[in-house]
Amino acid sequence: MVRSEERMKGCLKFILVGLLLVGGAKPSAADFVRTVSLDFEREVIQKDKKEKLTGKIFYLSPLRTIVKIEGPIRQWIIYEKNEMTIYYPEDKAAFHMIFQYSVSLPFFLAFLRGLKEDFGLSEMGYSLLKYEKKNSRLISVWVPPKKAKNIFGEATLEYQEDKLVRQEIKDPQGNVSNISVYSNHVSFGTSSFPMEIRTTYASTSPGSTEVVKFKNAQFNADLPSEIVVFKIPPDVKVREVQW
Amino acid sequence: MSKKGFSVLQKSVCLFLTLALVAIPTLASIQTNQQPTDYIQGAMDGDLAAKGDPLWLVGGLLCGLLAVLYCYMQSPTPPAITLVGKSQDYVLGYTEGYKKKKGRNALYAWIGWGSWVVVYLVVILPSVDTN
Repeated sequence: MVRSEERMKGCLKFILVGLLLVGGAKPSAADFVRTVSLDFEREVIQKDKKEKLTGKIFYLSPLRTIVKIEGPIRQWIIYEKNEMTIYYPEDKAAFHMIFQYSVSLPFFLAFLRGLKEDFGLSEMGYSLLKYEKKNSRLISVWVPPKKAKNIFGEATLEYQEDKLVRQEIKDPQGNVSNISVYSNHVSFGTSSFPMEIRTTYASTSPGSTEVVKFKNAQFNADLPSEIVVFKIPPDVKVREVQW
Repeated sequence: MSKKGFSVLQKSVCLFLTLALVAIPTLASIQTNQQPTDYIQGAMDGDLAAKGDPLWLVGGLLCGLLAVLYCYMQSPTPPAITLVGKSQDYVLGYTEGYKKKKGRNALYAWIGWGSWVVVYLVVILPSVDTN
């Protein structure tokens, strides 16, 4: 009985490693997603305060994202590599900022990570520590790269039927920092994208919850020409922000 | 100066001081009230987010003036999501408030380096055998 169990475990490991290797050999979903457009509604609830944000997101691979905020204020935000421009069309004013790292809308990045096999963790230098199957879920635990162990903690991913359903991030001290639950997935090619992301922040903003709902997601559709060639009008006063 | 003249002068000075005591706070309040609420909120949030990083203490302790110099050369940046959906006045206030972060990090680095200097002068140097 013990020998057959050991053989089964060995087989399972072999199959899983094999799937990972085969999975790695397939072309990445990121290779054939050129554009994404979708509507979003984001609500942040913190103690007795609620903040709501609605708008549209347009993504042009690989590094340009344009966000059209429709409420509570009309605003355009253009993310390109490590630059962010905030444009107020009604006030004819804009701010241009340069960051130390590549920037984008965090909840949209969480949506886009459906393009990556392991949610993009290996690209960030994370290593797989362990994996297990619990009920119908595949749970994998990842550890950060050595140079970032003082900044980041473990990350745990839970997949159900090849869809990421839960993510838990810990701080370097091992305390849970935030938990995200992904639901209402839509498929494009071999990837699944969550249309609802619910995140609870434990250590950074105790008691705060962010709920993001997406709709009307379109992949590789032609984007409006005003988005493709978007430029701040020349009569707009652009203020350069120096940090 | 006659007694009457001096009394008039006293009264004038008293009146002037009284008016000044009333006028200065009123003027100050008008100036504050002219600053948009969003700007003030943004400045407060930026200031709160600009708290210095105590790790620079260690940097100053270990790397000395190099850490202080590096502190002034690099530019800390806030989370990009903070400014999404916020008014122009809020963004202006926030960017002003956040600028203090570099100085606060530098202060930690200075303290770290200063601590090393004190330890050196008080503990290490006296124990060095000059013979």
